[in-house]
Amino acid sequence: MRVSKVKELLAGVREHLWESSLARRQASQAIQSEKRSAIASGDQDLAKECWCLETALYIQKEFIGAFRELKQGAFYDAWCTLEKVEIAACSLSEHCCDGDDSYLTEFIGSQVSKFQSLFPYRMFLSPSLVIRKCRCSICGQEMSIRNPCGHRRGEIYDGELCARIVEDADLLEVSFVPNPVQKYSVVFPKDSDGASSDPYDYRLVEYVTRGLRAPFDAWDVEWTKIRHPHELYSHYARGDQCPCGSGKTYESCCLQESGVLRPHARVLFSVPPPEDLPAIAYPVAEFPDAETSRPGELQGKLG
Amino acid sequence: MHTMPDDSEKTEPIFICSSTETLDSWASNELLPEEIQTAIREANVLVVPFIGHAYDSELVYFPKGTDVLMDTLRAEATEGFRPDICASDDGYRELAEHADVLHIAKVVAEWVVVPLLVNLLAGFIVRWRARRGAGTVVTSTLVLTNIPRGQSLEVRYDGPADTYVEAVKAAVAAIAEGREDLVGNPGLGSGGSESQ
Repeated sequence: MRVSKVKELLAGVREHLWESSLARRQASQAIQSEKRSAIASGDQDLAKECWCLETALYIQKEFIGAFRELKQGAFYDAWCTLEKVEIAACSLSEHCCDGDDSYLTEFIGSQVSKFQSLFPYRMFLSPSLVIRKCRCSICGQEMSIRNPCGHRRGEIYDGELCARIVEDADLLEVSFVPNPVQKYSVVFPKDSDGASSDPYDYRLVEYVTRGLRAPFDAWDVEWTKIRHPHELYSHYARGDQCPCGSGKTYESCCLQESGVLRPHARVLFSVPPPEDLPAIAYPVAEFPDAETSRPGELQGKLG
Repeated sequence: MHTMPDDSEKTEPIFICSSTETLDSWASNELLPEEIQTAIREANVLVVPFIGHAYDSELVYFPKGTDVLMDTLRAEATEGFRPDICASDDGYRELAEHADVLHIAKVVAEWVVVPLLVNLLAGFIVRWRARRGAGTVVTSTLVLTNIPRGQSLEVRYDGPADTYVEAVKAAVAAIAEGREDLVGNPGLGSGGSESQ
């Protein structure tokens, strides 16, 4: 396979979804071969372009994989795969060589953020580290703050991203944080037998996944507030704090209204979702409000 | 004295206070090995460590990304702009924290290089923020030495990354005008307007 064919395949991913692992492997080999030639001839620009193609291929493959995991209900696995995609997409955006997003990597990056917003994970474990020793991923030289090797972190050399490989670090502390550098460290409590359990409510991400027919179908979410039926809150006494979070009593707040004012995610699909997708799936099955009209075709919002 | 800024003593993103730190005081600081004291004597821009952390009071460290900051400063080095760092290779420690905040290493600089320094810091922030996981909030401490009336002033910033340059430049301009009323709690933070 030639690199021009690889570019065609990257641009046509919506249609073929890299379903042929042979094609994907051949594409990867073609890029590697081109990169070796570029390095041998000292063409750093071409080597960098090869890195961009390689990364775009990786992003597409992993995003399709994450979509598959979501469809299978493997939500934490999908979360981690989306995280890998986000990291790669961010690296690529610094060295973007695809101005019109023909390989859909910017699109994927934006979809990843939207998927992440649907997940119920809100707090993560995150360590503080004192880094003592690290090496340059390009030349292998131990990092020297006074006499640096000359390779700049985040740049591309010989078609490879320059990074630091931490070899010695002390753990200073671990915190719960809402926005960690890496989002893999989701907290799963253990039950009395020591087995991990998953207490999270994935209905929202499940709903969107069910509504999507293919990984590259655009969708969006609008966060609003709507009134939820009182029967969902029948366990609240009139004198309890209102479930809407206003701080007033239920009686003097939402109980006087048609329902409890609660956050609501309205999902807009660019391709009509399957007929059996309920109009409202989260958090109630039925809801007689204009806001809850069946998620339908997106009208001009996603371009 | 060299620890990360204490949030309790200010409400504005910009806070200016007097400082006893100078380039010379760092060049004779006993924390540093003698060869480093000698090496940094020619510098007029010094990246200096923070000393002490909530979880380790004796930790001498630089924030994550200080190596990239040094790359940024060294790339502009000239006869009139001489950056260096108060650390030996063996003693250099970087603290990688979890917070969604970009902590920039403390910089002690001669007044004459401050305009260039602020522009370089602005470029560093843009570049660093383009990366994943970089904060939308910036903390930065600049110690400006040999300012017009001879003293050292510390200019701290703790606020949105987007307003860093505007706010720090306004603070520098106000210092240049000799507005001593700014020291303490200047209220320069939002957009650099004068305190009322």
